[in-house]
Amino acid sequence: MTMTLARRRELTLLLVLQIAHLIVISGQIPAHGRTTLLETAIFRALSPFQRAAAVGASWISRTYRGYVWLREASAENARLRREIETARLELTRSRADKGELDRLRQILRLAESWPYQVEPALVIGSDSLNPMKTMFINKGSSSGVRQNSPVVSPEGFLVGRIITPVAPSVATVQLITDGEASVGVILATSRTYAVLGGMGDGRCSLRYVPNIVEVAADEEVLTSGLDQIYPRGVFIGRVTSSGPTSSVFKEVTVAPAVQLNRLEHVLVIIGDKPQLTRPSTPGETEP
Amino acid sequence: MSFLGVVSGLVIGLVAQVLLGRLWSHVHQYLNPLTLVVIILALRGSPTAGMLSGSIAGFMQDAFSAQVLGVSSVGKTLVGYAVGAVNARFIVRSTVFLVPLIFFASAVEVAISILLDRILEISPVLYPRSILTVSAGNALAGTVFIKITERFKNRRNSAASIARLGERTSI
Repeated sequence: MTMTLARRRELTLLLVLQIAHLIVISGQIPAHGRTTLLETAIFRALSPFQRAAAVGASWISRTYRGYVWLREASAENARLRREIETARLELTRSRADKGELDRLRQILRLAESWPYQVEPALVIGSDSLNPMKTMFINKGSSSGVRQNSPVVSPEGFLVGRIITPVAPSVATVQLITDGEASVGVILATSRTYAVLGGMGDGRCSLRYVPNIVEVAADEEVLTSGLDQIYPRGVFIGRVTSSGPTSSVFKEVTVAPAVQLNRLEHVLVIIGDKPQLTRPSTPGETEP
Repeated sequence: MSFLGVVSGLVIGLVAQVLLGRLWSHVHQYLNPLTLVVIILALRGSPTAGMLSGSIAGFMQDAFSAQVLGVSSVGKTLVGYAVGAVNARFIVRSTVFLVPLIFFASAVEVAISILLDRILEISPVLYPRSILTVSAGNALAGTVFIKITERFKNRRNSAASIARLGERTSI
C-alpha cells in the first residue's frame, strides 16, 4: 500500500514535532534544578497566557462563589421573610388575645361587682342595613336569655334589650339607638324623668322633657327602671345638646356612652344574683 | 477547523484545567481537559490540526504545572495525530466508537507521560492506575460533550433549514 503525499507530510511533521519535543526535553535535563535559557524563554512567552488563565480562573471562581453566596443569601432571605411573617402573625394573635383578655377581665369585674346575674355573650353580627338598629349575640334561650333581657357593655353601659325571636343559641339585641327603641330614663342632675329613643344614626333623643327644666350639656342620663325592662341606675350616655321647641317639651340629644357598632362582647342581664333574689319555690328553676 | 477554533478550544481547555485543579486538587487523576480538547480538535479537524494542537497543549500544560517542558507534548502530539488519522479513515460519530476511542487515546497519552517521567526520573504526577481513571473520566466527559454539542448543532441546522424552506414557500 502506497502512502499518499499528504500522509507522508503528516508523518514527517509528526516526526519533526516529536524530535523537537525530545530536544526541548533533553535541553532541560542536564540543567535540571537550574533554570535554563530555553525554559526561561518558553516560560516568558507563556507567562501572559498563564496570567490570563489565572485571572480567568480566579474570575470564574469568584463569580461562582458569588453566585453560590447569592443563592444562599436568597434562601436565607426567604427563610427570614417567612419567619418575620410568622412572627407578625403571632404578634397580631397575641395582641388580639390580650385585647380579648382585657375585655373578658372587664366583663368578669363587672359581673362580680353587679347585683345582677349576667351572661357574657359574643357579638356575632349586626343589622345588615343599619348597624345602629340591632345586633346578634351567640347566647340564646338555652343560656337563660329571654325577650326583654337588658344588654349592657363590658363597662356596664346600656346597650339595648333582647327582642324576639330568641333561638336556643342566638338572640337579637335591639340597640338603644334604634328608632323604635324606648327606654325610661332619668337625668342625673336635674332628676327629670324622660323617655329615651334612638334616632337611627348612632344618637339618641329624650322625649317628654318639659321646657321649664334646665338641662345642662354633658349631663348624665341613667335608666329610671320605670319601664319594668331595664334596671334602675344603668348609665346610658351624656346630653350633647338641648333646646326649647314650639311645644311644651324640650329637644334633647344624647350621645350613648358606648360605641355600639364596635362592641365585641356584651353582658345580658338574665336576673338578679341568687343571694338577692327571693328564695326559689319548688318547681322553679335556678336562673 | 479554523485557527481561531483551535486557539479557543485550547484556551478553554487550559482554563478548565486550572479552574478544576483549584476546585479539586485531585482532578488530574480523573480528568485531563487539555487531552480531551486535543482529541475533540482532532475529531473535528485533520491529523495535522490534531498533532499541532497536541504539541501546543502539551507545552501549555507543562508550563502551567512546573513540569519539564515538552513531556506532555510527546503524548498529546501522538494522540492528536492518531485520533485525526482514525477519524479521517472512519468517521467516528457513534457513541459505541467514541467512548473506546477517547478512552484508548487518553490511556496512551497518560501511559507515555508516565513512561517519560520514569525515563527522565521526574517525580511522577500520574501513576499507573491513573491510566484507567483519567481514560474513563475523559471518555465519559468527552462523549457527553460531543453528544451535547452535536445535538445543539443539529437543532440549529434544522431551524436554519426550516427558515430557508419558509423563505422559499413565501416566494
